[in-house]
Amino acid sequence: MIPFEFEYFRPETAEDAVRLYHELAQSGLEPVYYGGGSELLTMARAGNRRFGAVIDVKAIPECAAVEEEGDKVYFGSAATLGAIERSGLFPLLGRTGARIADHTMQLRITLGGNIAGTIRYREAVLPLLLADASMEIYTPDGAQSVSIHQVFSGRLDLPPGALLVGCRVAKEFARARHGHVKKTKSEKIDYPVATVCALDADGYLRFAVSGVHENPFRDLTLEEIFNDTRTVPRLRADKIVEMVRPGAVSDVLGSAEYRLFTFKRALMEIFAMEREGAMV
Amino acid sequence: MIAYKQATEIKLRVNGQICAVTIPPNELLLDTLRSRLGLTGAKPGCRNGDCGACTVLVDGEPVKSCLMLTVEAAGRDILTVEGLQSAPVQQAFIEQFAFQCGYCTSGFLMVCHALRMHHPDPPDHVIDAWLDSNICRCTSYAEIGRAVRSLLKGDIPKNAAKKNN
Amino acid sequence: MGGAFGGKAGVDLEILAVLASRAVGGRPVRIANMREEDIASSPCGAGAEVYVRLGADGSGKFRALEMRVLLDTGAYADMGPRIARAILADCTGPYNIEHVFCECVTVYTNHTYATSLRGFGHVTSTFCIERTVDKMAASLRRDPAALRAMNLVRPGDVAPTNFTITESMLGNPGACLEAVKKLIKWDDGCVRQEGKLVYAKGLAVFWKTSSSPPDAGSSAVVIFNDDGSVTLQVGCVEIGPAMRTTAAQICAAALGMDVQNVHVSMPVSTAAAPRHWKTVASMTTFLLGRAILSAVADAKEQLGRLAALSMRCAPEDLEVHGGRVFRKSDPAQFVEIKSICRGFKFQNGNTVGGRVIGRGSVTMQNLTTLDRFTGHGRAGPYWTVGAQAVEVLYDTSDHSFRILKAATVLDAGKVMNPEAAHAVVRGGMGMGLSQATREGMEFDPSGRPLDTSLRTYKVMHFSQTPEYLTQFVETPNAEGPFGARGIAEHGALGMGAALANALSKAAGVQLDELPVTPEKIWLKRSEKPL
Repeated sequence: MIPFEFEYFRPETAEDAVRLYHELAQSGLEPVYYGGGSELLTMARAGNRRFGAVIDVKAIPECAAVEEEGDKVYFGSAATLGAIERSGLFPLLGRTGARIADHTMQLRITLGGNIAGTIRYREAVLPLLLADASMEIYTPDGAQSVSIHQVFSGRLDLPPGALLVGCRVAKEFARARHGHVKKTKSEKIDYPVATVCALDADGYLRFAVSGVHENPFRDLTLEEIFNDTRTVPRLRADKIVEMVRPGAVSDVLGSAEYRLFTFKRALMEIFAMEREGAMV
Repeated sequence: MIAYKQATEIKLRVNGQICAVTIPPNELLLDTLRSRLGLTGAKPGCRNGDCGACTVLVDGEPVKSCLMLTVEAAGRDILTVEGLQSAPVQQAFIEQFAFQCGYCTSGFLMVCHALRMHHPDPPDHVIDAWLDSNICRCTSYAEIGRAVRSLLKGDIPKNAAKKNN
Repeated sequence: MGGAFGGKAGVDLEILAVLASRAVGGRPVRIANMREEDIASSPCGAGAEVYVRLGADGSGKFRALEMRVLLDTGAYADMGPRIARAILADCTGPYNIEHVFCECVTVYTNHTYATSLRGFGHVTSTFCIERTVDKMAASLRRDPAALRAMNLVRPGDVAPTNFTITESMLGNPGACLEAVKKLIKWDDGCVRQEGKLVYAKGLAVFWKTSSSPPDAGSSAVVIFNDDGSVTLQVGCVEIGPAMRTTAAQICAAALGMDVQNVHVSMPVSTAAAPRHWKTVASMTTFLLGRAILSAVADAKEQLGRLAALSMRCAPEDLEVHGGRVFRKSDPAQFVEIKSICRGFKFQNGNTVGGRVIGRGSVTMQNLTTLDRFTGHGRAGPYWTVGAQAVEVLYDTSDHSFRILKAATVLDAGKVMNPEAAHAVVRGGMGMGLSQATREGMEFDPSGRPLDTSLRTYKVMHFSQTPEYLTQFVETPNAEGPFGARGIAEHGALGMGAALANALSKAAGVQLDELPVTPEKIWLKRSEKPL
């Protein structure tokens, strides 16, 4: 049971959603966009989040869509992790999403909800960072397309009331050879101690990380080290770990030092996949 | 655009029957089912999406009803454990002794019933993925695994037959 | 509804409900904790720090044991001191050790308070003893199974609290150990490396008696219905292990009736039902079973007296079985129970007697408190012994592991209901393994619990479970109903020990803390000198 009242709206266009948001905000009602709802409802119940209105975006076609568009693939912000995996359109995103939560939850958790949520892991963003996704946003000024790197550096940073409508990814990245390694504390379905996603962009391995730092990241300097064929993989991994060390988190899932050990193992496993041709 | 600003009457189709309930927008489906419709099969185990005891089917898909607003379920097909009275999954669980205290059982029955509808012959990793959505403290899951496998293979004898381990 | 595993042995929220109800003039009051409140403030299992020192002679015979236990009971004593006493009574594990010093201190801390949890201290003591026995085996270069086998307690040995053990009280731990070795294929080798992976097996043996109050008891009422069926009234609450089915089975077997004709009355009314101690301690079958047998005996005596009028013989010449009271010397002479269970009616209509209502009450027998200083006394009526084994697959590269198999052989005395028995033992094993790998209350430096939701307090899920192998040995407990011993908790007792024994072998470090996690293994390995 949610300990406060709120209103519920279900618009059918992005324009209506955004306009409604601003109207409600103006009248002091504190609106939020509502996708799968799992994070909003659990935080509301626990008294960690309060809002005056939810704007359910699942009925907006562009928000729910999962489809191919010529040489690109498109995922709506209200597409569920389950739907994305089932589509097979971006296998790395499907695999990463499939390890975020259990099967039943995956039928509710949305791409937008995971990326824009407060829970720090946001694992679904990793493949999008690797694929240089373009983010479709809707504001009172209309629809815009921006590179993910402009609006996401650890967290999604959009102007208040802007609606993330969806993400577009070039097929060359969506279909690229990839690897995904997730290490948890003990149980399979859990927050990550370290998750590493990797993508082969024309022989160059891109990688992005969740769990090790406070927020997920993709760092081009670290990628250069990752691909530096002048040194053996183990030394490349050591160097990356040293550079990542300052921000490593210590919490109930693991100490910082253990996190870094696990992160290094994940990197080595990606190298091994590459070497053994196991990246598909 | 659908808008609910205060308590509103909505229609739900639950176990094949249309019910009208007057509910505020902030009400959760779990609470509507239990407190207004008297369908206490779905259980609050955590209200956090972590245990699965509240699982029901909405349009044939398993949903944790503690994390769905009732207004979202309007006009959709809801199936609870009370609607599984003569379903083979119940007999499978009885045959295999797949429950003890019973608190998680409704949720597992719903997931297994849905699994069978979606995947009549699933590989192990699909069974694992679906059943990882629910937790049980009393059993070892071994009996639940046997129950779901016997359900999928369709070999559930009509009469209770004692089996040796 | 819902399981308990000991958590409903004491009162927790009930006190608050009573106070709240009184505050509103006696109206019904409902208290419901959110899961987070439940985890943080309702009682949990007791943690402990234990020091163990075991001495053996050159032949491997255990000679002396020193054990000091600090039991973390949290903010309130609740069951803490009783758990300490229970650990003490069984401190040696199922071994014959002549010289024993054991001290158990219950400590108040500012942690969430502790209460009974499956095992009642025996998961803790089994873990500590069994890890020590494995270390002793390594030290003596003996096979861990053989070392255990030679030291197992036998009838005629003296219990830690100083009384002589009989076969009826003990059962057969040796047979359990032999059988579990076969289940886990111990003789095929217990460590094997394949590249970066290591397969390893670990063993544990356990025993447990209850540490109930000396006057814990149970009662039952057997009422014959007009159609000859039986209504069985008991005061025990069903929380999962199918005790109502067992109760019906015991009653039916004693009467020679079809179990379908025994109706166990529901629900239990605390105002009216015949009292049962508590649904704890794996003692329900024992206490309630004896009470039912006593009630059946009482009913048979009444039936005998009524039938004797009809059959014109002494009551002791009659037997009750299969819905009839018949003449022992000539079973063709009988009356149907349903014709006399309301009393005996003479031909002219005069009726004597009345409804046959059998009543039975039992209590624990010969139990004492334990001497404050020497610990001598008798804590429980009998033991349930068993042996367990776990096989793990350990990955040396990241210290993760997969539990492949878990096996238990325990001496059930008499298996009452095979399906239920295997299921409750497996359930205990699952709980033991989950606790040993994922569970535990962690606190920040100021004593606040860190994991208060099931999001981060993980239990084992379906896909992570091992193959379970369970088997029973049956050495009759002469005072148990049909020879039965309790089995409900025991699946959990040695799982952590067997797992830690397997992983210690696999990882080459001493894992002496539960839960065992990859991080803890990594930490131990990092501490090893190169």
